[in-house]
Amino acid sequence: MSEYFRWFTNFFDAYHITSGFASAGSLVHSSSWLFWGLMLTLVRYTVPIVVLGIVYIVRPKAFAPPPLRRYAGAEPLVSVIIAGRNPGESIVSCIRSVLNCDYKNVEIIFADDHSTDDSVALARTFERTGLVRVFRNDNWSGKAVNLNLALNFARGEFAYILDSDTQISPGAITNSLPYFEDPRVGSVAQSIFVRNKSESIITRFQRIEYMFTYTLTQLWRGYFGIIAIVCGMGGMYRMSAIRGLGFFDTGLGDDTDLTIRLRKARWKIVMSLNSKIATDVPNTLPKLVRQRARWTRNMVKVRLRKHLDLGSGRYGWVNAFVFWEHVVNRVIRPYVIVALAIYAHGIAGKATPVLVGGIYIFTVVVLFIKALIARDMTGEPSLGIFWLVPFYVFYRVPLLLTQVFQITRELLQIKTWHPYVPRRIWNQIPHH
Amino acid sequence: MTERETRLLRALAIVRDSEPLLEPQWDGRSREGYVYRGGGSDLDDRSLSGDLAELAKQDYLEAVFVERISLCPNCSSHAVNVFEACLTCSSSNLFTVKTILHFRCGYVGPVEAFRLEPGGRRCPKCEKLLQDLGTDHDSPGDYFTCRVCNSEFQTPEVGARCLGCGSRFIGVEIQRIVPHDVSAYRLTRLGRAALAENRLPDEAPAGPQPADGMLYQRHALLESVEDERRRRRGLGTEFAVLLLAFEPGPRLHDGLDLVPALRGLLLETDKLGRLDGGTFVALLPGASGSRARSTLKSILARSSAVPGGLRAQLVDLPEGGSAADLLDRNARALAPTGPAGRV
Repeated sequence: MSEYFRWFTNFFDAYHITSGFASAGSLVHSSSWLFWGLMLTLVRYTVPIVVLGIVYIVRPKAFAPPPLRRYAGAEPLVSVIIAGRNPGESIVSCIRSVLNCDYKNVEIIFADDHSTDDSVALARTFERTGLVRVFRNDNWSGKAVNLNLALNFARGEFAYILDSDTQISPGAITNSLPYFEDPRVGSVAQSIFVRNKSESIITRFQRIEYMFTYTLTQLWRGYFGIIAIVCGMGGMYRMSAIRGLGFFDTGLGDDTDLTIRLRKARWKIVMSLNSKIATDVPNTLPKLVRQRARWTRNMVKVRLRKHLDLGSGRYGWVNAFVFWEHVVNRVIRPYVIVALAIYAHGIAGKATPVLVGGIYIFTVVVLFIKALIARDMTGEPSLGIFWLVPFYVFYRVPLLLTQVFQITRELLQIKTWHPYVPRRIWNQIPHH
Repeated sequence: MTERETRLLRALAIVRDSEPLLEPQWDGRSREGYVYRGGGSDLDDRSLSGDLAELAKQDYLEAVFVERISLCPNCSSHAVNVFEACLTCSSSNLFTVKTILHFRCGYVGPVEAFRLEPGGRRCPKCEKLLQDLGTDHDSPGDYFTCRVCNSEFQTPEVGARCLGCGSRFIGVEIQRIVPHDVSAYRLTRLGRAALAENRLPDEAPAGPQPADGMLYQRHALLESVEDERRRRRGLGTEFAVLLLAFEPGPRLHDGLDLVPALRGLLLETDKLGRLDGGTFVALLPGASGSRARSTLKSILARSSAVPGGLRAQLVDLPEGGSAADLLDRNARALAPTGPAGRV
């Protein structure tokens, strides 16, 4: 162990760095599994973003919203739907952000999930504006039910679903609306930023991560029409599209589920780079791990069980691609990475630190390029936190292990119930 | 005797005649919705209400809470009709809608959206029949719908209309409606003494009067004592209460000349007030037992100067029971038979 440590600490000089690249190069020639694993990650997570960055430099207008035609000069009513349980600390700023945004024809409906704090009283102080309505659920029922409760009262042509710990930036609705000029568009995903970005080192890492995952990746996926999730933190929907689906289904992963049902109903889902929302993210590692554990389980539950038929081609080859791409990248890839780490150690033996170091340097270079593209296109992350980029890999390690653990757990159906959904409702949901 | 004094003494006599308590009688024809029957005309009854309130303020009567009513701020009528109104258009033309949540698919909608069939109601989203309430469905709550503007909301605005003058109050205006406490009345010892002497000493004092602010009225003093008890309960602070009684003289205001001398023995923060005709209370906030005893000693040293003698006692006010009851009980024990100077 101490020998490894010495190897590793002595690694960062010109000779060893060159050796690292040489090791990676030898893998290319040997057509090793490790090489192909790296290639998969590179192609999926880097190449599209680099292309995106080049397109942005050459033709920045490509990312501007389409021109307004039907809605030019008109502001159709947008129902902003907020659901939450005990969001007392954030509900005021959330509602205020909507009231202060540049889009005026809004109604805000807050469905409170039987909170025990003063959320309802705080939200009701806005009722006198005539733009806000508050409904308190008599029972704890989960997020999806409360969204449905609020949607039941909505009168808008469009619904803007917003988390109670999130706030929208001016222009979010205005910039999303033009995409609905295309009558096939059912939903517009938003650019998600971290609001509590300076709270801890964990939130700073997420500040970088959200730019990669929820902005750049969503953007290129939107370009190809393969967005797999409109995040529950914020997204704009055509009301007729989601009303036709009976709004949300109960259970975990309401946002993933609704997105897939929209896809199955052949609605187009696009991404608006200029529609920005800012959300609070977990500020400690345990909280973050719990959140990602829930997300991972939702992903398996919704994609691999409830909507397994999406991959059959019954709903078109694009949807089948979305399904299988997700299976490969979100289910198989975490296992592959762990397996490759073990395999690499097997083939490299005591040279593992050199090999790992080579891959590490390669990864960091790629991450810097991605961070620069994100910064160029969205202004985030700021240059002040670029020093964190070399450590980003270490931030991802516990999350990767969480993914592997939770996928295994969910596939083996161990303790499937999650307290996010009340037991009385969970017992009635058909589990596939 | 002034006309006003005569009227107040008559009010005291009416309370005495209605003992143990003069209770209000609800009367929809009267402006305020209640009257005190004093045996006179309706006009007298209305003025009697004001006289009783004034006497209670001066501690001749004790007011016993009966009910809180709302009066129109414009015409003082009790006929204020309260209604639920729309948040958007303020109309009271509302109806209530019951909602159902179907657990299985998460559909939430009005009861009518769930089609009624012989086997029960059917969910419009998943087409399953609903079973028993609470097992596979429940109600997240009811809401109101406005027939005028079609708004839906859960908590309506509260509005009111005065049926006397027609004024309408909605939103923040409803705060203008005046809450009014209706009380029954009973005589205090001070009131009894005033009746016995057939005059109101505070109205036309014959003897010397304490300087302004030297003597607390009974109700203010009792409130201060209750405050101190609360503080002791919550924060563990100390306080002491001294009860001072002198032999009642032929006139009610006898003993008032003692007040400046007593005040001189107390700190500025101490409060001195009259419990009734011949009994005073000194409240010593923050006083330890030794300070209370030394104050008591100083007071008793002056007792020889008071005709008929002065009795004084350090009163213990344990938790439970009102300060008024405890002090009255101690005062009764002290005045006629209690040994002078007991500590």
